[in-house]
Amino acid sequence: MLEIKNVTKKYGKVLAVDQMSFNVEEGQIAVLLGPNGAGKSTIIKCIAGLLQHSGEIAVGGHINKSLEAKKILGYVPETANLFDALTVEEHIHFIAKAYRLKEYEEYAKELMERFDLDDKREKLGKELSKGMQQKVSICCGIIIEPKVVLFDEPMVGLDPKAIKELKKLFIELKDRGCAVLISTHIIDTIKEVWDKILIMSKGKIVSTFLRDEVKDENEIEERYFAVTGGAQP
Amino acid sequence: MSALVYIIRKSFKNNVKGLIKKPAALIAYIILACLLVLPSLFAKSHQQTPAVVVDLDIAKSIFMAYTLFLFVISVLSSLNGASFFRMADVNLLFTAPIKAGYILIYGFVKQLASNVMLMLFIGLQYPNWKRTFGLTDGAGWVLMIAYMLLIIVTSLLGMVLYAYSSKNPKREHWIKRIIYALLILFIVPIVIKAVATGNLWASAVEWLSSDYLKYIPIVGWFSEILMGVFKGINTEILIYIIVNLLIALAAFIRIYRMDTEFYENVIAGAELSELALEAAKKGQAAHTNIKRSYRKVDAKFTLEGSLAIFQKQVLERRKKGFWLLPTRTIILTLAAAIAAVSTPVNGIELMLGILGVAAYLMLILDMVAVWERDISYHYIYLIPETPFKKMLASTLAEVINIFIEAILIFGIAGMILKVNLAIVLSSILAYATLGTVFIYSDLVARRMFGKIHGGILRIFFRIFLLIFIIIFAVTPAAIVVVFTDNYALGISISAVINGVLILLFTWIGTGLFRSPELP
Repeated sequence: MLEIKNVTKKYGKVLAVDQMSFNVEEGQIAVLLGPNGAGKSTIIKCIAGLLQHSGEIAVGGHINKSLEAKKILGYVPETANLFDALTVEEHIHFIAKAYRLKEYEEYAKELMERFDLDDKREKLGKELSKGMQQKVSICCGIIIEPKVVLFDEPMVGLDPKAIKELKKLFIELKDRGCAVLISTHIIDTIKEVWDKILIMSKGKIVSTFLRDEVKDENEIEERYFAVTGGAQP
Repeated sequence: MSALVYIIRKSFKNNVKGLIKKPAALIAYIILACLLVLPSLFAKSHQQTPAVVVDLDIAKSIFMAYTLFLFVISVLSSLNGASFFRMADVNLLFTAPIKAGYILIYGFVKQLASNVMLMLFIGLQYPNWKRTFGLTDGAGWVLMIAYMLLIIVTSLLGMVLYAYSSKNPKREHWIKRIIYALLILFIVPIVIKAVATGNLWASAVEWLSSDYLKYIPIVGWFSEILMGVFKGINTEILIYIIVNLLIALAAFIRIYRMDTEFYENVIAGAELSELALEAAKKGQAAHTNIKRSYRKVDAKFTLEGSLAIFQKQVLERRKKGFWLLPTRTIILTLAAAIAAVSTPVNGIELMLGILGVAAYLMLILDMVAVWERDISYHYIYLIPETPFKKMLASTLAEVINIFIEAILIFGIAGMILKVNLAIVLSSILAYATLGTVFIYSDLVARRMFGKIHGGILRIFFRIFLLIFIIIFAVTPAAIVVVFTDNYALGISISAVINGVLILLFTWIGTGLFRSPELP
C-alpha cells in the first residue's frame, strides 16, 4: 500500500534521508523508531508530499504527489497547526469539503466524542491547549478515511485517555485494511500496536523486523540500542 | 556583561553566515547595498545650486506627518506588549546572575541594531539629498541623530506605557483615547479647512507646518529637530534634543527601578513578541492578530475541493469583522472621495493622480497576504486538487477584494468628478489588474527568496516590478494618449499589459503550491 524506493532528501549539504527503501502493507502498523535527528519526520514529510526528494514514493500504487494518492493519504503532523479563526467543528468541515467527502457527519461526531472534543466544537483553534489542538489534528487526518495514514510523533501532548483512544484507533485502522506509519522515539508508546519496526539512524534504516521475529517487547529496546550505538531512544 | 557582548557578536556573525547560505537573498542584498552606496560615492559634494527648491512649509509638514506616524505606530504596538526581548532572553538571561540594568542595555542595543540599516541608509543618502534639496552641512548627522533618538524615546516610552497600562485595562483605553485625540488634533483642522477652501493639499501643508504644533511633546519637537537639515542646528533644536534625551533618561530610570515588576512585563511582552514573530512567519500581520477577537459567525462550508479554501478565507474575514472589505479599501475610498471633492484640478488629471497615488500605496501597504498564511499549513498541500486550482482559490478573495476596491475608489471619484464612463472603467481595470499583478508577483518573490527574507526583498522586488510596468505598460499607454488624446484607450492598454504579467506570474507562482518545502 505504501512503497518507498531509494528516497534521498538533502537540506543543503546535510543528508537527512539517505537512499531509504521500505514498504507498509495493507492492514499493517509500521513504526519508524530512531533517536532525535535520525530523519523520521523528514521521511514522513517526503511521503506526505511536503518536501522535495529523489527516489520513488507510491501511495496505493500512485505517485505520492498525484491527486489519486492525496485522496487516500491521511497525515497527522508532529505539531498541530490549526487555523486561529476556525472552530474545532469548522476545521473538520473544511477538510471534509476540500476532500469532497459525502456523509461524513456521523464519523466526525464519533471522532469528536472519542477525543473529548464534542463540548469544544465551538472553540477556536487558537483557544485550545496544545493537547486539544493535537486531537483536532488527529481528527482532521482521519476524517477522510484514508487508506494510508502517517502519524508523526502523535502522542506528544496527549493525556493518558487520549493516548489510549489513539492506540485503539491504530488497531481499528489496521482492521479496516489501512496502512499505518507511525514515527516516534519513545518505544513504550507503541508496544501493544506495532506489526513492523523500522529503526532509523543518521537518515538510514539500520534494522527492520516483524512482531513474530522477536521473543518479547523488551527485545525492541535491545535491538534498538544495538543498532543505534546506545543512543537514548 | 561579557556574556551579553558574546551573544550580540555571535548573533551578528551567525546572521551573516545564514545569509551566505542563501545565494538569491545575498545577491539581492548586495544589489540593494550597491544601490544605496554608489549614488553617494559618485555624488558631487560641492554642487552649489540644489536641483529642487524646497518649500520649507511643505518639508515641515512632511516631517510632522512622518513623526506622527512613527510615534502613533510605536506607542500602539507598545500597548499591545511589543518588547525587544525574545523568550530566549527571558529564559536564559533573566535567570542568569546579570544585573537588570545590563540586560536592559543589551535589549536596547538589539533594538537599535535592528534600525541601524535604515539609519545608514539615511546617512548614505545625505550627499544626494544635499545636492537635490539643498540641505545644510551636517544635515546627515541631524537626520541620523533624530532617527535614532526617536527610536530610543519611543521604545523606552512604549515600555513605560505598557508597564503602566498592563496593570489595568482602563489605563490602556485612556492612553489609546489620548492617541486618537492627538490624531484628531492633526486631521480635523485639515478636513475643515479643505472643505472650506476646496484645496486639500494647501490645507494640509498650512496646518501641519503651523507653529502651534511644534510645541506638542515628542511629535512636534522631533519635527523641529528634523527641520535642522534646512535651518542648521540652532538653540531651539539643541533644547529639543536635550529634552528628548532627558525623557529617554527618565524612562530608562523608571524601567530600571521597576525591578521584578519590569521582568513580569517583559516576560508578557516577550511572549507576545514571540507569538507575533510566529504569526509573521505564517504570513500574518505581526502585532495585529495576536490579541484579535473573532465574531461568532454561523456559516457552513458548501463549496467543495479547492474552492473550500476560498470559502474558508471568506469565513475568516467575516469573523474578523468585515467580509471582503479591509480597512485599507475604506481608507483609500474615503481619501479618493475627499481628494475628488477638495482638489481644484481637471477631472481626468485628478483621476490619473488618484490612480498613481493608489498604485503607489498598493506598493507599500498590505505586504502580508492571506495566501501566505495559508501556505504555512500542510492542509493546503494535501488537499487532492491541482496546484493551479489551489493557487487560484487561495488568492481569489484578494483578487475579488482588489476589484471591489477599484470599483469603489474610481466609481465614487468618477461620479464626483463627472468624468467620462470609459475613463472610469479603464481606471478600474488598470488599478485592479495592477493589484492582481502585485498579488501574483508576491508568489514569484516568495518562490525566489523564500519566506525568511521575504519582507524586505519583496518591497524591492515590487519596486523593480513597478519600474518594469512603468517602462512596458505606462510608457506605451502615455504614447497612445499623446497621439490619440484618448485617455481611456491609453489606460486600457496598460491594463492589458498587466494582464499578460498576471498570466506569466500565475504560471510561475503555481510551483509554490506544488513544492512547499515545509520546515
